[in-house]
Amino acid sequence: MAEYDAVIVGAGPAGSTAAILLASAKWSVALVEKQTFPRRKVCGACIAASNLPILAALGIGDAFVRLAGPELRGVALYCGDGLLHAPLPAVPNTPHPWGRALERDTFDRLLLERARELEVTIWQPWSMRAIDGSAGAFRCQIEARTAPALEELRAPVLIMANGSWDGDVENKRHAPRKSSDLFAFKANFSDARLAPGLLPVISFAGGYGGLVIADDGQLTLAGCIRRDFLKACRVAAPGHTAGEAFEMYLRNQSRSLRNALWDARREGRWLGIGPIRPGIRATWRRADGRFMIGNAAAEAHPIIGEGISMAMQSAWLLCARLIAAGRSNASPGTLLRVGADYTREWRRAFASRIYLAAALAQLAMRPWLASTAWPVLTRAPQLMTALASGAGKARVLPTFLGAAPPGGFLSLGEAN
Amino acid sequence: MSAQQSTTFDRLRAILAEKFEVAPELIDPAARMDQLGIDSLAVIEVIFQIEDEFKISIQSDPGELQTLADLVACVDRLAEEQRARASAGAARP
Repeated sequence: MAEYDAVIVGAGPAGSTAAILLASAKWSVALVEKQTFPRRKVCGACIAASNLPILAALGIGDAFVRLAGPELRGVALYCGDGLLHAPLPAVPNTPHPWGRALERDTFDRLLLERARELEVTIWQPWSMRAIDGSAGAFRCQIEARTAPALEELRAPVLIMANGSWDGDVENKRHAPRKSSDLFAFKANFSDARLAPGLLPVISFAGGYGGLVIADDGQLTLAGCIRRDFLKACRVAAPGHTAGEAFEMYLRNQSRSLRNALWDARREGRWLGIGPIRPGIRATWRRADGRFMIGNAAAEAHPIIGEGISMAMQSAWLLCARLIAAGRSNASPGTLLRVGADYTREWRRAFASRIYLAAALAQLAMRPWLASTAWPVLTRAPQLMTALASGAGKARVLPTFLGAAPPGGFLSLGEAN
Repeated sequence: MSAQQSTTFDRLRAILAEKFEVAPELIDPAARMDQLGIDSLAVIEVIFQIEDEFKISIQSDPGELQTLADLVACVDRLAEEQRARASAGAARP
């Protein structure tokens, strides 16, 4: 049995950010991750400029800028044979006003190494087997993935950052199978023809996608497609994997994408996952007082490419409140107040972005509908810039800009 | 393991060996999918192939299908349900 101030489940961007923040404030932290790293993820790899102050405070700002792809200064819309360009919004008054793309295997490793430097105890590859107790006195039974071994971790604070797939460890729920279920795919390409710093969004019947030049100059192509459309793609491409069938369909649907991939060579196979479940889940469970951050709390349609941003920002919102409450004062009553305050602030920061992402996704999956907006967007491409702003690309919450929350995180990171 | 499960297992083994290049000697009912090189980002492809082969629709969360035995049980249950539905339909006047 081992005791900590906090147990965090999941070492993706949300969980590792929370671990670094709490450890920076001298909390003892256990971080439980079931997979070994490096691990691949179906992820668009975009990290908005709004996160750069956070990365600096975490102590990995310089490493991120050094490793990530070019600054993302423009957005494009690919729809059939159509192509529109617009500037991406910049974050004002910061040294790094633009976002960049960095593959998750590198990004997750950066975060985890920083957590290790700060003496976070990393249980990897271990998975959560059972959770007992409640706020103030959680008991977590974890299980080793590579050898028969069990361990009990105790902590007053439990933070679930275990993404979309593991969800509720104790109560798995089955969503009914629907034609509109979305499957997500991702692959990397070398020698692609895409202007560095451009972030195109692809609108096509039954889905949407995006492409970007990430680290090492490789193009990352990621997208979602409805179950019924994917089935038709697979029927049209016998003998191919679902990912390959998806790529063929995408090339057929967009001339600009065909051009971008003209001489491109796919590196490795297509990765697929699904059905994805965008929507708001819960930030805090009143029954036992556990907290949820990242995709465990909510998942935006990936069309806005804000998943990593929302993961890190939700970790920040929660940890700022936990640290303000004090690690030696983690009583059920205090944690209840933290949960209510975190939930309120979370909704203020993210709810509108999630609803906007859902609306944009529905529009993008119906190119005939998107085409009705085309004349307007052609005359006023700044509307695309405004939509990117609404999605949070340049929305730096006041607490992230220099005004360090209680705990003084910025003094521990780099002065960016 | 029942005769039907054995048949299902053999068909699954053929799919994994032919389509996903899994070494046949590793394919054991107790083997975890990730031990066979089928991680969470490849399991969807396996499920699609199985749906095509067995003409079934798999409802389970891919995360729950951790071992080949889980897959065999899932496929057999769905195939049985499908047969029962077909019989019920055929019995209607």
